Amino acid sequence: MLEGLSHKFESILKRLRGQGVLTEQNIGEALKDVRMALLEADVNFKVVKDFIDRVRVKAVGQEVLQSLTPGHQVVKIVWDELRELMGGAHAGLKLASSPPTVIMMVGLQGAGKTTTCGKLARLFKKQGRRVMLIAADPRRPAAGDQLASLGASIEVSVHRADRPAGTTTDIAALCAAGDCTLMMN
Amino acid sequence: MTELVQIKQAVAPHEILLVADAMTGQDAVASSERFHQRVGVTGVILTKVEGDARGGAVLSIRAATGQPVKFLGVGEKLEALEPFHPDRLASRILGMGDVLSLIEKAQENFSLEEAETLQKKLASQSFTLEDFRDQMKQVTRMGSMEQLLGMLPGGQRLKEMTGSGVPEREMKRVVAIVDSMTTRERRDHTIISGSRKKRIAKGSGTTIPEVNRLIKQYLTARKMMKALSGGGGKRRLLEALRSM
Repeated sequence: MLEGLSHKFESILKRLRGQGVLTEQNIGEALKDVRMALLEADVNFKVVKDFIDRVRVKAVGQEVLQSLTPGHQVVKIVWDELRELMGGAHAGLKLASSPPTVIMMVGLQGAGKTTTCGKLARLFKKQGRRVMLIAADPRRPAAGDQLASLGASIEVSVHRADRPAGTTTDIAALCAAGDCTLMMN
Repeated sequence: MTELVQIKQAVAPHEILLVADAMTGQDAVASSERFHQRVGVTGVILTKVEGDARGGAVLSIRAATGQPVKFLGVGEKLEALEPFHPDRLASRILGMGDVLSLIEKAQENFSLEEAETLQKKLASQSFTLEDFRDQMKQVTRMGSMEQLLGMLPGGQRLKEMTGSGVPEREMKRVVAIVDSMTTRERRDHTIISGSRKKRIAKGSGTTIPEVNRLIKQYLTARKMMKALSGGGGKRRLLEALRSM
């Protein structure tokens, strides 16, 4: 995954690392390449602009230019900023202090909600939780069937609440049971 | 959308996770923004990331929605779900590898018992062809060779050198060859004669030279294991390596 982007970054940074002394111009050129790489990777234009600006401010500071390994310093700055861009630290799932935890899954059709539900259910089950899946899509009946067969393969109970009428109350009642509930729509 | 809001009000979920397809790039970002405005999501799961060479969605979704990415879907199989670690992914993008995830993967897939029984086998020096095969299987269980290589520092280049899929096929062949042996043959490789080799090659869809190679590989592996487990390990390991 992300091979294309990783490739470009590697070659750009390799060039930077190879230079003993970095000037503002060197860094400027490298950042231009980074910007192109990110834009080609289909990263949001605004995001790219902010990213480059932040890296530039840090990278042309005196510490970097005068350090013994300026190239490595720049790599470190880029790494820091990439990490920040993606949220800094790992964000886990917040579970309710007293069960059940209810997780609602939303997304466009075809994004992979049903499959992801199965994956999460498997993960929770492995952690020793009791999991229940609830199908809550009133529009596409086959979605419920798919979830049911998925649930059977990982031995997790699946409830269907995807009838057109009165869904919400059904779901609410179902959610009150169980230890950890994944619900999808 | 209104239905979603109704459900949210009725159920009061602890987490509302948005599932977005990473392959759609900026569309994924735009749709997440919409979902977030209307329903209010608490986290994002990006799917189909393994097929996304560019990574635009992974990099911009957090900045655009302000909500953290919590998991990545990296394949069709039910195990293919990775917790999202920004620092590790940053390392991977910069070609520095992701050894931490590799270790976690290994821990998840190799049970302590399996490791212990293997250890015992080594100590008693009864490492058979069966164990050799099981080891191969364990490694393949951790994921595709390509994925594993990609997690090593500089692995990206290594991947290009070996070409994709080759080690994997090789390992599958090993498993097939050992599977075509009888139990007795697996426990004692010395009884494998010419005609037995012929049968094994036929049964596994390989050739006799391949069967020979496998037996040789197994013998070297056993030698190294012996060297590792016995006393005075280092010196003997070096000798074993030299004699390869």
